[in-house]
Amino acid sequence: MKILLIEDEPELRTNVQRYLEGEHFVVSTVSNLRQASQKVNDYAYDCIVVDIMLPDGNGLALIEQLKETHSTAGIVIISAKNSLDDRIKGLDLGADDYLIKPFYLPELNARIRSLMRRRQNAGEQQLSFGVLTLWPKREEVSVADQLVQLTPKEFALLLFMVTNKDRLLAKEVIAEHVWGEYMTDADSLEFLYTHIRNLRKKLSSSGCPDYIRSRYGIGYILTVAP
Amino acid sequence: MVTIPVALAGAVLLYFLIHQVINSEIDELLSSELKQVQENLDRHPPDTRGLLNWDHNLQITPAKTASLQQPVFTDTTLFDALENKVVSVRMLRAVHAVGKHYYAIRLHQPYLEFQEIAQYLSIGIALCFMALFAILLFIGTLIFRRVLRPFYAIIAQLRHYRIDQQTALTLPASDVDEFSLLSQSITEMTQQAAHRYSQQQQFTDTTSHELQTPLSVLSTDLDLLQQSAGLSEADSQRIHRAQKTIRRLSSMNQSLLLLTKIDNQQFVQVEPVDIGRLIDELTDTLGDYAASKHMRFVRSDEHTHVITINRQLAFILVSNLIQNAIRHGRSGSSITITSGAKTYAISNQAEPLPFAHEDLFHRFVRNPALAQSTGLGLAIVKEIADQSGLGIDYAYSALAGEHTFTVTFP
Repeated sequence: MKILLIEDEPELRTNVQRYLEGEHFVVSTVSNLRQASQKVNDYAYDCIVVDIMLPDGNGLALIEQLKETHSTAGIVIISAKNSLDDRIKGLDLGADDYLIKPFYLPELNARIRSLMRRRQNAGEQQLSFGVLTLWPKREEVSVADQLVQLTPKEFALLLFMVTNKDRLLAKEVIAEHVWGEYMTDADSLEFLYTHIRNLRKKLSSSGCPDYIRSRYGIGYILTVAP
Repeated sequence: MVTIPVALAGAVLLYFLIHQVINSEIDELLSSELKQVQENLDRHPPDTRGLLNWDHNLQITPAKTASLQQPVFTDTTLFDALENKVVSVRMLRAVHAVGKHYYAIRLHQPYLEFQEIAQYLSIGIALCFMALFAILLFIGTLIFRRVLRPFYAIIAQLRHYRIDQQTALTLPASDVDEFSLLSQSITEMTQQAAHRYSQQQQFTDTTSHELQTPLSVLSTDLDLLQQSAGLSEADSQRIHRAQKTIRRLSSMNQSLLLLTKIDNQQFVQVEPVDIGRLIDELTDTLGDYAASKHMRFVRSDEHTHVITINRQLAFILVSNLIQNAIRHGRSGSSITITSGAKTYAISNQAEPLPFAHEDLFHRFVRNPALAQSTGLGLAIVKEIADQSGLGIDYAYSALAGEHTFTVTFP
């Protein structure tokens, strides 16, 4: 899948590019609006990740341009501004998601993946991981064709970990994704531990191997590797 | 107030002065009368019968010797048969020699009328003085009021002036140069202050935004570093801690930015918001957090309140209060939510505050035991309440060990 990343801060651009390439995306990068406009004119992208505050203008202008040309690319805004007005304006113009800086790279990956899934309407999307099969739309998961009953939070947790498989996910990253951004301020992430424990219990009772590795004090990794 | 003692002292002084003058006048009168009597005696030396006194103010009696060399004045009292009372008089005694005969002469003059005149005069003058003063005071106050009217208008304006409000002062014009100068100076001063203030606000705004980008670079750097193979356990922990610190910085930054925005009144759009429904929503999303601390919500908010407020601000206000209750509440206790006719209250059980009660809503006042706390949550609550015309109060009941925040609606 092809992604265009528009970001003026070089280090951030490189880091995002590197991470997304690690997630098997093909990533092109530009640093200003003019170049971006040129790129979207010449090539087709599956997803466009755009910073709102660019040296030569507002990233929202690019969204307008994309909509005028009836582009089918998904659009994720990344902005330093946590402003409801900007968010509403961006989404109204046709952006699919709005991410506030600083963001976690696994979160950006999850947002892009979710967006891609929503875009591909043809057929029921499904994800596989080891013996697990997930149907994101129906919020269902099966272990070797056997449905496992999960609560919406447990499913969101599993989906996020499958999306970012083989990555060490800090507790805060997972909590922010599943429970919302203000949960980062919570003094204890004990509730996350409870949910992980319940998820493990349900999966293993259906005969699924324990894919979840704990890293003490930091977080979890979902991996098939022993 | 000072005028009365002054008037009284003046009256007394005046009385003595008049008295003095009258005394010397009477003495002069008596002296001239004496001279006349002496001349009469010289011209018509009386026989013994002729000494019968017609004038009861004059008594001439034969004397054997010149017992007095000089005339003598004395104050004394006499019985006045006509008025049937004792009156005080001024008396002049002298001895006059005609040939070989000596005559003792006694002249007196009652003080009575003179004293009365002195009294009336001094009282009259004192009264006039006071009346004059009262009139002067009255006129003075009237003029003062009229002249000072612009001054009081300026004071009234200043009293209601708030630097964080965009409205400029409209100071009244005045004919008095000093006041127009004052108005002008104050207008300039407030304009300058408001300008500085908005610059300061803008600075906070820009700084906060500018900070987010380097924080993002740091955060993504750490994300990548965390994924690299061959990290020791301790290194992983360090990266995790750094990542958490970045989040804390960022969250502090966001909170400061929010405070600035509220100050700048950037949340103008208001709509009816059902507070009870908002609490439903929040107790639901924060339920897992509360449950992990074995806390539960006890709702007894029968009074529904739909208030006109900015929805985002209402959300932040209620969310901060509930999160505050969960964060600081004792594990296993309950959070009570009640509503009254004009109030909503959220209570939690916990140890008393580790800082002064008055500091609770101040920025960066936080419980040092909780590392993740920014100390801005309640400052934001206060700011939102102030800007939205709501009241916010805090109370601690030592007996129940219960902290209660009460929001009062207008």
